[in-house]
Amino acid sequence: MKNDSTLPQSLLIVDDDDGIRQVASLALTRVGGFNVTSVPSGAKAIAYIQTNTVDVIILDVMMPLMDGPTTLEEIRRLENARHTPVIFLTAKALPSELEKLSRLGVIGVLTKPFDPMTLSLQIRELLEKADL
Amino acid sequence: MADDAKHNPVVIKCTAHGRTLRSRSGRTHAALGAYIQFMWIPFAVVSYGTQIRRLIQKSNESHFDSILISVISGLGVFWALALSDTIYVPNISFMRQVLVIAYPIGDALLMALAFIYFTDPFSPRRRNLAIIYMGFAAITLSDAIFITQFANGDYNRLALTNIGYWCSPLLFLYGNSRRQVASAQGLALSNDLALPERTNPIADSLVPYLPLVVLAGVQIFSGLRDTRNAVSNVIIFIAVCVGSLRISKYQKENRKIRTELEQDAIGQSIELARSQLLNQKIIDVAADGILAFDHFEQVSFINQTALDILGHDNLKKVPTRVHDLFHLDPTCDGSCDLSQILHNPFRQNSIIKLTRGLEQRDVELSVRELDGPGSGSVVVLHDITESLSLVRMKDELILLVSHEIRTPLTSIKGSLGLLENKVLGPLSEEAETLVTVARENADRLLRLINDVLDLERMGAGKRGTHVEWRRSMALIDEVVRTMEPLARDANIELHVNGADILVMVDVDQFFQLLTNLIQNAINFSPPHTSIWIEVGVSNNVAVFSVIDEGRGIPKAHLEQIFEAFHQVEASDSRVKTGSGLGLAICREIVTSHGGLIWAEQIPTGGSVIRFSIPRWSSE
Repeated sequence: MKNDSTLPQSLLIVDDDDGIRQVASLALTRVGGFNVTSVPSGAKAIAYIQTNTVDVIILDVMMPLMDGPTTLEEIRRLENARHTPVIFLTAKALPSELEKLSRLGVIGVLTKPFDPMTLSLQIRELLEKADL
Repeated sequence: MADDAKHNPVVIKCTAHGRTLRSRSGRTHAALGAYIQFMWIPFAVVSYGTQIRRLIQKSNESHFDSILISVISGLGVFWALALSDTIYVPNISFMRQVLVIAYPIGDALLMALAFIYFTDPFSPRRRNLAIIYMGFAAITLSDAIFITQFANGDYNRLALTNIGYWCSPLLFLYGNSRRQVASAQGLALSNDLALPERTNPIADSLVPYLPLVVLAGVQIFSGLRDTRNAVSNVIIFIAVCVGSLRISKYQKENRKIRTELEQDAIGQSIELARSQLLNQKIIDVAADGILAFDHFEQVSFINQTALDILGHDNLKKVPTRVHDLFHLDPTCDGSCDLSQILHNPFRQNSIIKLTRGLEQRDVELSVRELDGPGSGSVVVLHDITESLSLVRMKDELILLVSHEIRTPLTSIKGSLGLLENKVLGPLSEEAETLVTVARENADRLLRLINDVLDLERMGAGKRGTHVEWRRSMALIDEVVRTMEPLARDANIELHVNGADILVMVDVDQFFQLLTNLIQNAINFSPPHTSIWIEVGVSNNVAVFSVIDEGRGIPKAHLEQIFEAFHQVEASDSRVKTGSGLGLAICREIVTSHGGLIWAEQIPTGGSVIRFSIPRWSSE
């Protein structure tokens, strides 16, 4: 893995599905070398971001109570997360929907199911592209 | 006149009947007689003025022929019988001669007109005319007697023969008073489809000629005294008889033809009325609403279904303007979507929402011009509320299922992937095999879900086709590059062959199409064989072919393989990894490009799947 050459970053996973949170956390920690925290809802994500510094946020789209786009809006209202890169991770598959999501102020949209071995690479690529 | 009175006592006697009165003793009686005698004239003018005008207005050739012949013949008969001998009485003045001539001429003219109009089979006032006709007959009779007596100098104004002058005004009055009722009956009759009452065709055609024949007979008998004229008179008589018979024959034939034609016409009218009723019924019970409007936007036709769809229960309150039928918005200035649809015939069918009471209906409108620009349009309304809601339900279900399966599949695939790649430590050999089997089947399940979603999107036409000109070889090379590792693993060689042309395609869809076909060929080819991807032009379309050396497709399955989940052999889905939807998706893609896809057998073994792209260019 080439991830040794990049500094570990703190990453927040927001997803209501326990299984996905566990798998993604494992994959991004073990394979990607990220410092991963996961929360099950948008509200918990806001609470976490208010008290912690996060380098990148992986945000599920379809969640009960507060969905991904709404959570994103709330995150952008926070002083310390106004410019934090956010990536949507969604099970939606229609190209039109993916395109709509990509225009909401995120650096990328990744689809489920993801390949656990390349997920972290995809995230780093999006981060690099956003930095340019 | 005064001179005549002095010289001719006959004339003095006659003035009691005429307009001049010289005898002092007979003055009162004569004035009364004149009044009574001539009072029929205004009645005649009133009664016949309208009738004669109508007769002339609707006259045809045969009417004028008949009138002419009858009048001339009638005059001839009067001349021969009554006037020829008396008109030259030496002591009658010129004015009295004119009077003597004018009487029978006027009577004959009126009698002829009355009789011809009376015998007109289409006259709706036959009974009235019969009464008026009797009045004229009475006058004419009295006139004839008067003229004869007048010429002989023994006229008596109190004679019984003058009764014609007395009773004719009464007959006119009675005939005219019946007019209203008779007219109404005539009107009812003319509106009926029944044939008008017919007279005998031979008698009908002979009527105008009868006086002519009588004239000829009179000529002969009066001419017998003069042998010089006898021969020519007999010839005239024969000629008139032959002519009458011939005309009568023609008339008979004409009448027969006319009757047949009229019966045909009536039969056809009834048939037409029946078929119109049937058409109306068919249109009314049709499941789709149909309405027509003219170029002033006025509704000219609407069937019951259209009224139902548009929610107009009360026929009396149906708006006449087509726009108002759909939505009653007095503030609408005609620039609404509906107006755009109604005024743009031949554009694609449009779906509009109509509010009917508390429910909203989805109605598909198709507008077509009736008969060229400005001729009005026909609108067909198809209520698609139910079918549209079913389609929406199906779409939502598929999206939901796809999403709901994807989420657990993410955890399964992720976990298996981490295990398989030994991220969490080494596995025993058997565990590794099981994990791989599980991961492969999770992949297969995912492909199935993706393909179902793809097919659904294609079928509903939701996947927008963004076509552009691309070089065929560049497209094929790119697909082949991605498929090369898979082919290498299966020990199969890929070859590209054919023309490099420009094709108008949706690049993403084209990639999916060709990838599916090559994948399929690899799946069903034994190792150490080749697959050829070829491009050519045939029948003015670009044709792409994927040819393999596999087991081939049985003839019975050549068409069915493009159906969803179709398997050539029961073991196919177990051995190979396809979802069963690959070729169905290919067909949808080709169809959306306006092309065709088909499979062929190769006699030496193997199969070929070809598809056509209609829009292409060599440069």
